[in-house]
Amino acid sequence: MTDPDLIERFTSLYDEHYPRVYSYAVSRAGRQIADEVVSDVFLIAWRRLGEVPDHALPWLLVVARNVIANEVRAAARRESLAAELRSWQSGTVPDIADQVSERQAVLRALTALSDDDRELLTLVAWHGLSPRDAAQVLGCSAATYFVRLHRARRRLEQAVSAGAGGPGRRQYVAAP
Amino acid sequence: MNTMEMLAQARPASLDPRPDPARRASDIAAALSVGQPEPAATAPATRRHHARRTRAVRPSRKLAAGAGLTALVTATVAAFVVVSANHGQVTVDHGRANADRGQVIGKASLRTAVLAALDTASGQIGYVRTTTSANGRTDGVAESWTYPWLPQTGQEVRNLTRIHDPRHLSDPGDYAETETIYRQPAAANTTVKAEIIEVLFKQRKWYEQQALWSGPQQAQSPSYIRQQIAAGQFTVAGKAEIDGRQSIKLIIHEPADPGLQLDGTLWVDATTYLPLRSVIKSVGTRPGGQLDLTTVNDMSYLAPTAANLAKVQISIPAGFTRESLP
Repeated sequence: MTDPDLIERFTSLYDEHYPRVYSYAVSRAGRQIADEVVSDVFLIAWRRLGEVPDHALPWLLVVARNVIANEVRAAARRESLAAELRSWQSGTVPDIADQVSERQAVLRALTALSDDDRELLTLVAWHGLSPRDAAQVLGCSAATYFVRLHRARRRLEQAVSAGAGGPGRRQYVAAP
Repeated sequence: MNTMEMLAQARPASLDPRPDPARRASDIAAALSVGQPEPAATAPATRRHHARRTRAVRPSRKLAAGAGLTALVTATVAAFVVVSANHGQVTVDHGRANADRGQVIGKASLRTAVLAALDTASGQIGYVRTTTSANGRTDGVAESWTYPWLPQTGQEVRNLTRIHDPRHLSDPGDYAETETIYRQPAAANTTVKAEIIEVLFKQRKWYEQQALWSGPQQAQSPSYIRQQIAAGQFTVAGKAEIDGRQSIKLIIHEPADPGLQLDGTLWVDATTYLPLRSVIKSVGTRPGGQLDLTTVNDMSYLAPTAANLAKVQISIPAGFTRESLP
């Protein structure tokens, strides 16, 4: 493969997957550092282009996960993610009131979960990964993923129920 | 509806990126600037040292490609869109300028004339059409109207930018418009509070928010051009015709990264001395490969009439859905 072909493959990779890598970065690290994360992910993808599989998304999200986990930017990530989670809790949809309430209840409950639970749930629900791909991103078997997902769903349902208790309902706080 | 379905429907709009050709060009150039991909290894992608090992080389990439490429590639993208602290009341001597048509005036005279023209146009509406291409293939088109073109500190600035999705350039209906209103900060690179309205025409949606905005960046401002001209950091390269108009060609060379050469070319109108076009090329020569990114900015200026000011104000078509943008 000649270099123009490599560049073509890389730009195609970028164009195809940028939106989903960005979405994952926002959900895991917040918008404040998402752009930087995405830049690093594709920098690594270029350097490791020979290792990127045809089905590239899980590979890219693993890289994004590792970039986000980098201790160098841990403090920035905490701050960025906290701001992101606050924005989810405060966001509204100009729609039927019940739908707004329901959506907000789910988002509030989600922000009250642990990072791990949130990632488990959103990989499938928001980022469109198959359970098998999600398991690959998390570095576990599909069976393990299903068990963890089941538990995370239960915790989400509990958090939603706890948050739907009317005026005196539980106040969720964004996990840093 | 079960919890997962409810969760899927609650997906925040903030997870979706906005089309950003400049960022795409910057990301790709930054990646390619590190050189050839490494030979394929069998190491699984889950190993964390991927990120760390690569980050170890990042500072030089960031400094060189980031400071150099991003500065110049974006220098005139939004170029003539905002900021200048200098608002001298110098007027252009059009009579002399006309007399100079047909010959390239000296560098010192040209410097004075261009600076005067920039200041004279400060109260007009600046229009920039930006086209980016990689290896000869167009991959991004954006249009921007800004009023006033060179605002004074504290002055309200309106900018409307229309971005065509680089992935769907063949679909003329797939574009977004963003209106940003803010007050001109005293210094570049200052975060400002902005009112932002965005309309996604393909999706028939619009958003409105008040947010802290990074503001006009130094490298993206006309002040960058002004600084280059004022500091004499240009070479007069002769005459040229741009869209039927006589112009003077100025060249700026700025080395960036080993293997990456940035060439900035600016054409100013030979009569008014206002910038007409800039072309920024970043060319990387590497073993067996060539990177060629080009950004073309075509500029024009509109009098602030009611009809022209309407171009800076976003219009939301009837029937579009307003959505939240946290």
